Amino acid sequence: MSATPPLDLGSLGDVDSPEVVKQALRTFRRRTLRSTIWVLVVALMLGIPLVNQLFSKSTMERITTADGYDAGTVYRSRGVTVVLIRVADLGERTGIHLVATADGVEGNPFVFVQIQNEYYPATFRTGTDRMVEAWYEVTVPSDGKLNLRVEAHGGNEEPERDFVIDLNAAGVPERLWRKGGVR
Amino acid sequence: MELEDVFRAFQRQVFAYFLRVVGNRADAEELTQETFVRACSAAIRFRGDSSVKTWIFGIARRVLFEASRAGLFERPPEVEDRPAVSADHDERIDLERAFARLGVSDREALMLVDVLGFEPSEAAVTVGIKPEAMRVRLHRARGRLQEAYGR
Repeated sequence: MSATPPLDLGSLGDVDSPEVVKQALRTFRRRTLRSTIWVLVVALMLGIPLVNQLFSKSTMERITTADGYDAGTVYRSRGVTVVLIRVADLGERTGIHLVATADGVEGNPFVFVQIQNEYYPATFRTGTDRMVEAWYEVTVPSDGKLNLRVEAHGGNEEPERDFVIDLNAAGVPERLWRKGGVR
Repeated sequence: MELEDVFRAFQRQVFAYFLRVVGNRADAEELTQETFVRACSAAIRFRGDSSVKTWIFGIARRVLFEASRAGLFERPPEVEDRPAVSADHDERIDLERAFARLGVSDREALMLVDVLGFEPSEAAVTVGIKPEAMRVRLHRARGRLQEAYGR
């Protein structure tokens, strides 16, 4: 294609090359190690909650199977009924299984439950709007009295009903709810 | 043959490729090292469909491409300013200067074929273009080099 003979470029390949192969192999090993560690960390981060979820029991299961007391104590206030079904020792905390129903409230009420002035995360809550069955993990005060407020919204009266769940009075053995250094 | 020995056999050629295309020793050293690091990872997938040389330079080409996207070629190429010791040496310095004035794709085509001894078809595979396009690129690059060299 060209009449002029190409230049001899062979000398351009004649260079003093630094030693890079050993360093490259070291870098490769370091990167591989770092990637492996990252993969393990990510796998652990993803895996631990998954394994926990697979093997940990729900609050409902724990309350049902742990050492506990089936109380069956009934509390009533202005058309709202609360039944303390079971109290169980869950180690650091105490498991409470209860049912609250607004069966005597006129209209079409729906029910919320607070324990100790908090809407405790009921890990399982079931029932109709008029009735709630819930399993709670709570810290019981040293006097064994839990303040329970049931809100029955939608009726014609003030929605709040306050109850004191006295575990001693309900016959719940202290060993189930009294913890070392409790509030 | 150990992987290290294979790499060592190509170390000088890969370094020369980067040095002449990039025009800077420090960058060339870094890119050469990166090429071999990646070759370590890729070695497990190498099935011998191409020659080892084409395989390694294919990796080098990708390393170069990524470096160019990161702005590597914004720096002008360096030509060593060594004192003249002979006519041959002067000629070589002139050639290096002329070569450094070429565009990157011209330098790359000339390095692969005229310096490192690739067949134009192998160089085309390495660069990722058709063999005809590589021949045209080579022809033009040689012409521009001769022009820059003053022949």
